[in-house]
Amino acid sequence: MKGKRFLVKAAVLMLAVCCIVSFAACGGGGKGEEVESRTDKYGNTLVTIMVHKDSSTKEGKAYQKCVDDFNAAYKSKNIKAQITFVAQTSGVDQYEATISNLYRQGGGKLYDIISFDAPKCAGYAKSGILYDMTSALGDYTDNFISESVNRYDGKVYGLPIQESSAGFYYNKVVLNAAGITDGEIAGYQTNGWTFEQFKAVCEKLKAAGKTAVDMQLAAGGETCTYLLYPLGNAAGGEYVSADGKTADGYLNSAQTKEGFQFIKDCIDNGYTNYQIDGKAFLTGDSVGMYLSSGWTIPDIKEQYKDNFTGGWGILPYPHKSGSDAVSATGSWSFGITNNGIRNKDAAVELIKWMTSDESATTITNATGMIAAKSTINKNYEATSPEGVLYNQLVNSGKARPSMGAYADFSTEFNLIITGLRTDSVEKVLNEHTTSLQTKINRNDR
Amino acid sequence: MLIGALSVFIAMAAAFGTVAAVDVVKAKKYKERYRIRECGTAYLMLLPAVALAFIFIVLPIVYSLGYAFTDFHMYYPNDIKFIGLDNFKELFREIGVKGELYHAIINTAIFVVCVVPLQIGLALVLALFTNRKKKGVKIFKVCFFTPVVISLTVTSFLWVQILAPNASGLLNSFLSVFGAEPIDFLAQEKTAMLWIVLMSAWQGCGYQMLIFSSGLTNIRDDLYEAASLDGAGSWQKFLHITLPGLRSTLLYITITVFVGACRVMIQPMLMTDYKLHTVTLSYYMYQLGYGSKLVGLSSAVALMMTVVIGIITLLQRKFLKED
Repeated sequence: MKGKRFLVKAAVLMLAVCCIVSFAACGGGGKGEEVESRTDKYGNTLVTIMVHKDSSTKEGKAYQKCVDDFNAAYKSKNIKAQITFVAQTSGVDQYEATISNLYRQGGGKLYDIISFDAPKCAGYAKSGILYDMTSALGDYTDNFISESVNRYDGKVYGLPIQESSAGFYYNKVVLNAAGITDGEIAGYQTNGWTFEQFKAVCEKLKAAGKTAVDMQLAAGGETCTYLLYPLGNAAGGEYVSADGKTADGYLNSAQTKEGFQFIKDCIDNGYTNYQIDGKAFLTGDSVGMYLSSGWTIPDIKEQYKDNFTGGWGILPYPHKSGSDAVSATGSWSFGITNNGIRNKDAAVELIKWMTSDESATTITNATGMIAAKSTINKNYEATSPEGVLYNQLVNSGKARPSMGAYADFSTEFNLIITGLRTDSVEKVLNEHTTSLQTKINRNDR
Repeated sequence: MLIGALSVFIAMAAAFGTVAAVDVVKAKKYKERYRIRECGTAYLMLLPAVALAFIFIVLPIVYSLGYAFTDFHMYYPNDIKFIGLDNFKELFREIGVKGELYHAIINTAIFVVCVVPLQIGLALVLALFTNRKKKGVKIFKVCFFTPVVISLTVTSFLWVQILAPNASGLLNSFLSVFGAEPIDFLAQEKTAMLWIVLMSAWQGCGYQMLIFSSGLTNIRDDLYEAASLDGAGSWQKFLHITLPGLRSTLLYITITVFVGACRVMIQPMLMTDYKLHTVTLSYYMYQLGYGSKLVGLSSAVALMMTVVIGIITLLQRKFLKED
């Protein structure tokens, strides 16, 4: 009896403390005062930038060089940039928590410019973390690949650092041995190919005793979403409505189902599976094709070149006959933040510098990826790996869904891919449409 | 934020003051001399530890519980509203429609029900084995304890390699000797959780083995000798001397293993990624907070977990009859 009374008292006390703290928390964050600009003791206007890489990486060093060059060029104008490296050692989620915490403190605590993964743009823009750069940039965005510029509600919130895209890497020797000629390959590279042509190639590879394609079904996380989302769109489907608020009727539409059915067919026909060793394509000849992003190009050229002495290349994403081809776009971008600094002139100067032709060249030389600008991508041969990816980006690039609840979309997409292993496309999509809609509603404010 | 921190601080200071006042009253009641200077010094020495505990333990916990009643979204940190019990209604709705939370509860329950007896049983067996006064036993003790000092992240990756679903997996390459096709152990809905249980019990039992060992040394040898004279066998000695002698140790181990098991997250996160057949409550909570950015809803899960774990722990103490 005594113990029971004590428990009741403890529960009431705990609830009371929680309520007090809840009310106190509702007051919001520091919302520090707005200031005109930030200066150092020498009178230089300071502009800060946070990037998601470690300073010791090739990419980190490239960012540092760009900032150093900026400081040298703007010394006479008394503008000084400071770069901070917040490597995603704890995952993208931790990086995002850092942004949220600094934003909450206001008063210029959040960096003037942040790097962010392209599909997060809608969430950041809608919540007010990102600054609308449309008028400040004017026609500066004209030189970028249009689909790569981060827009929300028709306004520009982010500029791409570089682009990646993805495609089906192939080992020429393996394909030729299975009876797929160089002429066929070149034709697919130049004119694209349909789901049926893709399956026919897989069938030949299977008949030759190979695992036809590693579609990275078990990759998990954003890698899985990024690599496979174009296939739903390539069947004419969409995942959510244009405003990102409705999944029902989109994710479970007949067209989107066809896209997932294509993946399911590849699994059921034995062309691909969830158990392929991720390195099998790169280190041996047991796998014919390998779906991966542009970041595999430097890997093959440097680390695995001995396995590809007979030649290699990239085939574009296949599409449903009668539908337009669609390919993956969207890498990391730079955006200016609403951090309590009123004057954005210095930040605009820095973001233009960091995405200029010179900086984009420096960065993409370090990463081996493709620049997101039409002004520096003119010399790729059409059938070269970079050329295939670049042409895809320009002609068929389609960004991942622009929505506040993008992280939830990515989680559901992964669960759908897992579900295809055992269940029908119809069942899996219907289940996850309901689940995604719930999550979208939770995020809607 | 500041008001919240201040109110928690005042509550803690009040609790601290009450304890001090109770001391004075007790001293007066038993007619003891209460030395203010000595006690004051003791409290002052306690102060740094209490301050650190307040900043790094109490405040985050209370704040996290407070957020359970708000709509805190990571992208809107300056627009937090008090929404009463809405988060809890949403969680119960999700359980009702058998959503991810439902799977998380079921998986966590399976994990707890399997890992608690397995890990404790394994630890007890190892402790009994290594507690014998024989040559070379200490080497075994070190071997059994080694997994404990290895990071859970490393052991998880190690097991992912062992269970890899292709020829590179240790277990599959062993099975292939007998002509078996590669099995994707961690993708099988019915068995994935059991592999996680096995790995967790293997990783954690070394620590409990040490605690059991120290408990065993506290049992007097003459009890065993007397039992032998009375003709008791090994099993009877274990049942009537060893187990009762380890009762308080067993209670401590049961509670700590149970609480640890309820919080399992790293193993499913690293071994299978976010999958319905392995998601646990802590992982679901992490996903809500960091993935979906719904800090308020995530805190509500944390509060529910705290209450449930607290109640079950109290029940355990009651049924195991703490001395």
